[in-house]
Amino acid sequence: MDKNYLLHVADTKIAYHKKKAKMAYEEKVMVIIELQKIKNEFILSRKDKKKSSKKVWNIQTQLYNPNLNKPEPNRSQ
Amino acid sequence: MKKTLQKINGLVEKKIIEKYAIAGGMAQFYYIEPSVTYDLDLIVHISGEENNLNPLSPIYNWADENGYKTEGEHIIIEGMPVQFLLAYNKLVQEALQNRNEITIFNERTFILSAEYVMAIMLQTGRMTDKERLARFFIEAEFNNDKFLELIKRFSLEETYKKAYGDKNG
Repeated sequence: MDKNYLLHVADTKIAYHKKKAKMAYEEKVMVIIELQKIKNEFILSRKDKKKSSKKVWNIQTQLYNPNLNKPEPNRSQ
Repeated sequence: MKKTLQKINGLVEKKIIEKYAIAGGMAQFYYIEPSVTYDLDLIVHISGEENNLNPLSPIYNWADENGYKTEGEHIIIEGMPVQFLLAYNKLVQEALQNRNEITIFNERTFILSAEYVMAIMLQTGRMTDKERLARFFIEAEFNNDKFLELIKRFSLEETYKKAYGDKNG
């Protein structure tokens, strides 16, 4: 495999995750809820059918207005 | 989450808690890409907690009086499990004192700063902390000098060098 290609892939992955890190917090909360749903589905689909004691958050997310919650440019104070 | 934060801010208004800050996974995900978590950790300071054998009891009493169920150490506040934790050591106490004020879901709240979150992860040292701290170095915006000063002052330099090498010289 071409080393330069691998470095390019690594760089694009880093850029992708950096971009995700800059998402508005409200959007991140939505992502977390979706990840909870996915994880719980995986747990339920397992052969041993072990139930997850962890529940998906039952919170009102529709209150989020993206126009009012711009991501902050620098989070380090 | 807005309603959860409103209720938590209500605890401050009612003087049940004096000061709080979002910590744990939900603080980490303010600075890095989120992954799965199921609870909201809050570091709290309660007046007179040093002289009280059960300093968190006013919070549990409030939950009981307001119909919020508890699951283990968590209180389910408006659909979200919240764990209230006392500032358990000097680093966490200082982190709480130097918390940042932010607005999320149009609600004023407080969060530990990136550098303190990182130092606490280094100090705690669980596998999740190690993995997420590595992501902080790549994804988060933080003040490296402040982070290095913190780990020096709280004797975490060796732990840092062992885990991540001496990349800061």
